[in-house]
Amino acid sequence: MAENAMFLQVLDACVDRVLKEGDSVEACLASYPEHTEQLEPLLRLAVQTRQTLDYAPAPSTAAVARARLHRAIQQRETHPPRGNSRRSFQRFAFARVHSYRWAIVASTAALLVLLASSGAVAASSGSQPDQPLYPVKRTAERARLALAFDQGAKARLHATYAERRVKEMAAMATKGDSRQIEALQSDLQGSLRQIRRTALPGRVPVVARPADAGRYTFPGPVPPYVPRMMPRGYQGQEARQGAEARELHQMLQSHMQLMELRFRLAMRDAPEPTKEQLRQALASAHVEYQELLVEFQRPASPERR
Amino acid sequence: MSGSDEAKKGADALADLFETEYGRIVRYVYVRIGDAGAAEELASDVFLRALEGIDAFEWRGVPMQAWLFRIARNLVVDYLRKHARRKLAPLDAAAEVASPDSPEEDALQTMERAEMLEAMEYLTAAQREVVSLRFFAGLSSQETAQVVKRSNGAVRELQSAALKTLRHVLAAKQGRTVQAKGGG
Repeated sequence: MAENAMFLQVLDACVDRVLKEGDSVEACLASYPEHTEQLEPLLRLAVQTRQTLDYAPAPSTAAVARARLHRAIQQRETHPPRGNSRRSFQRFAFARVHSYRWAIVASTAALLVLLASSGAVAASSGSQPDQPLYPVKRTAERARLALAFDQGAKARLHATYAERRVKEMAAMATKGDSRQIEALQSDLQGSLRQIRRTALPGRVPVVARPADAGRYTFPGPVPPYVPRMMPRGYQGQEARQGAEARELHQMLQSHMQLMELRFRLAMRDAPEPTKEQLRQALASAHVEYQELLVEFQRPASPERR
Repeated sequence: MSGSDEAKKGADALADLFETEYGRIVRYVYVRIGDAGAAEELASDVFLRALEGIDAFEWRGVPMQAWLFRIARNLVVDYLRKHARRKLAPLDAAAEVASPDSPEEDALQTMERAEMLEAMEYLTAAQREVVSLRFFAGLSSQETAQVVKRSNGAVRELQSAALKTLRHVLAAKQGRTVQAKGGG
């Protein structure tokens, strides 16, 4: 075997050992001492590349994608793509829509599938408020919300969309588009309100707003999540809800911190008048996130402190 | 086995594969397009697209995993074609996935990511493809060869060439940074 081909095989084997099997670079180099000089820099770079660009989707995102797939599978089982067309027609013609909710869900799913299959949703996912595909992005968001059955999933979607609004605000800030920032700020507040409604029904905020948000500087620590005490061995719906609340709390906490970073970066490029608007928007959003995080610590009972 | 049984088997296999492959596909797509939000959407679309074509999938020939990555690859190509004009700048793309540990650490990681994403742009399309599939999707060189429809040997060559190019580009960037610091 030519020397080069041999080295390529060694490099390939080491990449597998280090990146897939968790072996150390040193252990791999020890196995091929004759190639150490050539192998080491490339192997270390492979590790660096992987570590620098590695990205794991949030569990909530995977949950949405999973639900989307399972729904499509179910739909396919009940309405196979190919079959007796006469029977399909009869089934369609005489089927009864059992409830209004199902009708909405079915039409929303159809809209989502239509949009997704046309590629419009994927194409619109990175769109910004001043771009033509942005309404598609927002329609897809509403469709997904309508398709989310349990309140936990809805709350996580609202949290994801709130984070998107933050990202869009930062993008609009760098363009100095005050009108869009204002609209997005209102949408962000709406999403955060919806999180409260879906995840914390019947609660009212307990944290007073600062009298002067304009004085706001970048914030201090975020309260950690302290789970409520559960009886030993307790299982069931409440335990599941507890885990969901913990996940949502962590999600909101990281979104709030990410918001600081996004706005810091945006602040560098934003024109001067927009900077002030952005600072105020951040102050207000920070308080609302904080309120939500604090709400998660309160007991579920209706008594007020 | 009837056609509907085959389709059911395929859909079940797809649902099982979702658990192991979704994250890998997101990673692969993210490195190819540099937009985390779009990568998550596209990865979800991969499974819907696969479901649509499950009847046409033949159990002999390429494994289902390689077939999924081929779909992902096609969606990436379409996406890049459509978004050629408004691709995210590496810094924006990097900021999208900043971790929430601390703002300072985030900023540093963002810069490193941006630099690496920028360096990746110096690779040829085939090299980038191989690096994304091998390093981020975690495919073996044989599985990668099935996805990119090349020989095993060609994949190894592309992998080695990609690493050498990245090394030169990053070294040059670091050299410039050191020079700039020395000069300033």
